[in-house]
Amino acid sequence: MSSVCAVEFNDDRPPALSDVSAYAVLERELQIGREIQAGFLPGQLPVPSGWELEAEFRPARQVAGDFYDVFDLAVSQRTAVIVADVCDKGVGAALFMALIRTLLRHTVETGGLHSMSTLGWDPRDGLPRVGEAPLLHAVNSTNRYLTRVHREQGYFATLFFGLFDASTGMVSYINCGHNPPLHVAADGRLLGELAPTGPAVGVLHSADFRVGRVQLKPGESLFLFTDGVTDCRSSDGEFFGEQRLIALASLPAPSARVQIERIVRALEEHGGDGEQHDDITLLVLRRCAETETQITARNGLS
Amino acid sequence: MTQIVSLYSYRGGTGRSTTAANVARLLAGDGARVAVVDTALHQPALHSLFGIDRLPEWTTFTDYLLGRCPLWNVVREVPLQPSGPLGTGGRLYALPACNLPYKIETIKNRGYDIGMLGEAFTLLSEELELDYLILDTSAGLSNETLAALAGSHTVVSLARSDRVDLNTARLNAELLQRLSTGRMMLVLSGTEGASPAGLDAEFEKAYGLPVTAILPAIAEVSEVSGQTLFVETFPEHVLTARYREIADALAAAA
Repeated sequence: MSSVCAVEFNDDRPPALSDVSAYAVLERELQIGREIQAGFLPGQLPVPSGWELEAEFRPARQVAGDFYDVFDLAVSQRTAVIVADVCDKGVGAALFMALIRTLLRHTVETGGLHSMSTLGWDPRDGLPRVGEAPLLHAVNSTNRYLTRVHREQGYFATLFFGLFDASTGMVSYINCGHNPPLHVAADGRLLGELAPTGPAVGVLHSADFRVGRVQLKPGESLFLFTDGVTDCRSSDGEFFGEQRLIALASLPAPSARVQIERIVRALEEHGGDGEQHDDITLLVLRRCAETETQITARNGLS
Repeated sequence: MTQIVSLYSYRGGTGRSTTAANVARLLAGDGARVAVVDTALHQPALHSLFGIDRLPEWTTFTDYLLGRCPLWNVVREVPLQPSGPLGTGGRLYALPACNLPYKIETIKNRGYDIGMLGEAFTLLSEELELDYLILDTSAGLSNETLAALAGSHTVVSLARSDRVDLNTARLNAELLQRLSTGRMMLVLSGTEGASPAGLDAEFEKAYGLPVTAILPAIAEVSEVSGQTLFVETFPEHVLTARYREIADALAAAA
């Protein structure tokens, strides 16, 4: 669904050699940018035993403003999942994607100890769980950096940043003005949507971010997506919409791969041959049902 | 349910660690399952109070917080020595912090995920089936102390029975109200002979609490410190009786 960068040629005359040459240079540079950006996306997803993680990423142009990331936090033994959408598309958004992804990941991995009061954590709310202080620090400091240093450029990002504990199914998250992920039961019921717990990063310097929690029981899934999914338009301009997405997410499926392929196929059918207007990112996190985990363990698979 | 108890003081020198260790011993003697955690990571003292001279590498609470060992490598059972009327029916566990300077520097400079403190408190409470989890804190408002206060059901606030601590008593009481939802107990320490007339009442007024115990300054504390627990060496001492008042107040609140 990726489109070729459009270059304007005047009227019906054949393009001049210099135009073609400039186009080729531009195309090559964009290809390099695309390859570098691909390096910012995870190659192989680290999937804990008893879990499934599947992602689909389709940029609207050569380079994208969407991104996703999945990585392990070794000391705290949590797995981080990020799905984000930088405003705008193309090269500008891609540059900010690289910046925001790096700030978030580096800070959550190396942030160290931070005063609970500096984090804006009210001690009367009890203690943060493992990973929640670095999570809050990563989002806070990324937001402060963007609003302090890059305020003039006006770029911002909505994002969902979650850390899950593979042993308990507990997911701690911050939803920064992002499309609420869908929490779906093993039988397909929609259990809830993870509403924003703060604004988009890069907008308000003194924004207040809170940590939310949700527990995934065996067989339950989280569907994370960017608005490229719900805003996918048909040839007559109809949006794919959240209801279609919920209906598809609610169909029983044997695996996260089946769940994601089903949605991707529906998006392709809905979009037809029309131009893809926005980057599409979709990630499914599924905790295997206990029977599946037992079978996996018996087979020595992870 | 485990009662989590923090021993807190705004200034140092109030006898927090000594009180924590001895009150824990009395509670364990009464048949309770008790663990004491040294959260004073920058000035650890618990190992010494429990007579743990050498701390092998990768076996301290500091190592756990740095992600270098599992929590269960840190837990040490402290034998309950029979002594006078003290019982030996319960269990006492200690989780000392590391006293090696380079590791104190490491945790100071590198930091750690504060959520691991809360996880440790939960795991210890559940897995050891504790009646009491006692948190020895550092003086003032370090991050560990803030976390301990936030996670506690009971905060035992120790203050020196002098004018210096009295001057900050009201401020301190307000601070504790803001930082903890737990119940408060007030203990005064370090009084040599009679404290200035009316001072105890002034503390009570500032905190809005009765004084649970007044710990006299006793030379024998420093004589036995690092070798045996005071209450085991002097089971009939007046200071042991004061520690007993704190233990009984905690038991009544449980």
